[in-house]
Amino acid sequence: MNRGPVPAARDETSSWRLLDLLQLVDSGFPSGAYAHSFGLEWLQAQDSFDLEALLRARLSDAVAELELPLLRVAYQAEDVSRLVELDGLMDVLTPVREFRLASRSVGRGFLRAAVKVRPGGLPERTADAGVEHQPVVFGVVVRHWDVPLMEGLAAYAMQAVRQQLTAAQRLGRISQSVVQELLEALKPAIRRAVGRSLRVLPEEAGSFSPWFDLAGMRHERQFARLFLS
Amino acid sequence: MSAVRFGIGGPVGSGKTALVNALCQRLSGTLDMAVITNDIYTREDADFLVRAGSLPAERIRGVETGACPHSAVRDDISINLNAVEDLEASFGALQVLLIESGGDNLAATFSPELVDYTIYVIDVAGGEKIPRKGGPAQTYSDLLLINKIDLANHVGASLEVMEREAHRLRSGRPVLLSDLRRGVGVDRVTDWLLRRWQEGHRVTEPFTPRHSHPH
Repeated sequence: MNRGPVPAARDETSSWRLLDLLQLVDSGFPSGAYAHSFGLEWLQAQDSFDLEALLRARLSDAVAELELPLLRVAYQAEDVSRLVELDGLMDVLTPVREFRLASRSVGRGFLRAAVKVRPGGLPERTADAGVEHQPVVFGVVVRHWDVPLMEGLAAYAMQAVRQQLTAAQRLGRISQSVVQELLEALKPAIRRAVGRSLRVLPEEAGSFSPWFDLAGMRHERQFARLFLS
Repeated sequence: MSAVRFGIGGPVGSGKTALVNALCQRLSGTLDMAVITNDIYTREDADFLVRAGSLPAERIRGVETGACPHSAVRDDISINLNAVEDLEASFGALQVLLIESGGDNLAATFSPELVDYTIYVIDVAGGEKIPRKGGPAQTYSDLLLINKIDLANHVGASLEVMEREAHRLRSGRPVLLSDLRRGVGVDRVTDWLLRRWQEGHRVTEPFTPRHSHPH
């Protein structure tokens, strides 16, 4: 059987650095993200629910236009004051209360775990300064762990959709196989989101996601919820 | 010293919230306390404690776990740690923190990073055979409480058998009996908790790495 050309070997250092990224994005890395559906719990109860379309919209809008651009700038930041600024920017650009709290809660858990594993440096000073939003702390930590920027961006985007797919699975809407099939199908959209995000300046960042925003607000009053958002 | 943390676990309806309420009523006059409750779908337990006047509302935090309760108290305790940090920031001198798990199965345990001591509550109405089913929580919790002893006759359970088998399972770790609704057995649980509090924090993480890798 012809398996095609053997992929070129990565240099040894970058191969070993892959371990760092694998650790950070492993579902066992504690951040509390499993407690959030980011609006999906309300959306999945609606007649018009279309999971793939929603995830594509999430990628092309909030992920590409807001979260990844802030992650990139956080990655490049040299001092805590810039990160505090970005954290504040994420706060005001996330108008739905539950999403704001979710991003803060997950980011705070992620940063706490990362600093515990590798103390010191900018991540620890970032935690001390109370910076919490998920994209901002992810950017700081992947930089500190020497993960290349493009890989950090791609991993964040992949994780964003995977979290929502896992939520849909736990809500009983899709099977384990469909979770993986959708992840596969969404890879080109992830790639486009990363590419688009590189051209978004921090002062241009912002998303317009009325369905998700509505879901986040309605979810707050949903009875007997499985998720925090 | 930061608050000594007690994890309270057990199946749904076994009496975890009743125990938290009883402990708060007995101890909040002498100890600086706060409570975190974990519920899967709602904030029912936190709301119950507020209505019962267990503690002032601001000292009770309800966490919705978004999954099986053991996820939030054992596998990824981040949302509970957030609540712990927030309570400690608000009430600096806390002495005791009770963390109630959502109702779960017999496999559920607490992370040693989240709590110092654990109390596991089972229910006579769940059946005489519960202690025979074993599991890490019944076996290794610091205190096993067999609650609703007043129902034993109604459900055909022998307290003697339950207590004997619980002791056999637990190799000397304490077992107490209670009827929390009527306050029976609360004194002994309170005494047990005060003794543990006096002993203070305990080092419960035996397997931390010997060498850290330089980066």
